[in-house]
Amino acid sequence: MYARTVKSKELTFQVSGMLWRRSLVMRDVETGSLWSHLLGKCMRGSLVGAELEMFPGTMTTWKEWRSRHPGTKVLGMSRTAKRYAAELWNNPKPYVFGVHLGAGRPSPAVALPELMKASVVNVGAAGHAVVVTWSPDGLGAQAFDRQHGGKTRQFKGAGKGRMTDRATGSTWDAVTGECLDGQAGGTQARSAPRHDFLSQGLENLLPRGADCGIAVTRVTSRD
Amino acid sequence: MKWELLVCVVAGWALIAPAAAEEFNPKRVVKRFDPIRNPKVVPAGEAGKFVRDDELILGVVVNEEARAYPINMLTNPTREIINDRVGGRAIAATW
Repeated sequence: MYARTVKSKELTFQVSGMLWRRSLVMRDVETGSLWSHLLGKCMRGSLVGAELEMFPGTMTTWKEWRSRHPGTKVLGMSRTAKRYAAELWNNPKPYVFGVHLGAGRPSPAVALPELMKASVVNVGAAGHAVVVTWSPDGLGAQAFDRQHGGKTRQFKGAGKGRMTDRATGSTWDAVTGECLDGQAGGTQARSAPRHDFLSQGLENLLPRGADCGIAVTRVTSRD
Repeated sequence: MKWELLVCVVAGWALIAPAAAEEFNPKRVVKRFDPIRNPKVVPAGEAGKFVRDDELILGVVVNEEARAYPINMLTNPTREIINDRVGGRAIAATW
């Protein structure tokens, strides 16, 4: 999910018909510039180098989304596919859940089978720490920033879509990032800017180096 | 076990350490498609004929306004980008 406003100018994006690194290349109608969907960055044209602001998106079932956001609206177009339903995760092996933290920052990813098993996974360090959570009800994953007030929070799963942070023992909603009770009550963990499910192996095709890198984490414990 | 995880992540980052900037060399695979503007959206109460409970959606909340995009509506080159407006912001829902 990207903002379409760049340098105070509203852009309209279209599918360019091109791929780069097996990923969508977007074109903005206003300037004809080409943008990498993967990086959220203008790669060619008058806006080259500009980056799109990211909104945290959530992938979950319609049922869970609607229950958490009763006032939501939903896209009302015809279907172009049928396979993206809960049963997709019956075979999670091909997927990793990647967290894109922005240009110049490493992008941690968690193998989906391990995430489904552990429910709450702390990844990253040194200013790039996030917690990745899995919601059994919604069959969706989310990622939240673990940095808070100069400290790095460490979470562990508490069952039923909840997690606790080790420093204060506060209870958090693992799906929304909201602190439900305890010392940190009433606060909200920031969603990591963007997360994607990728087929395993695709991460090897991502641009490396300064722009974006994926480090796949094989989870070995519930930590 | 905690340290194993940390070592694994740090080692992963070391592998992706600075490399030369990637050359941008996109390849055309299909024709360019017209942008989708002002897409039709419906309230949750009227969504029954568009989306089933177990279908996966991409959801976003902007300035307290929530929007869901069923992935089964986005999986075609003609549909991969939806130019929408949520919570007063111009957004692109992409897949």
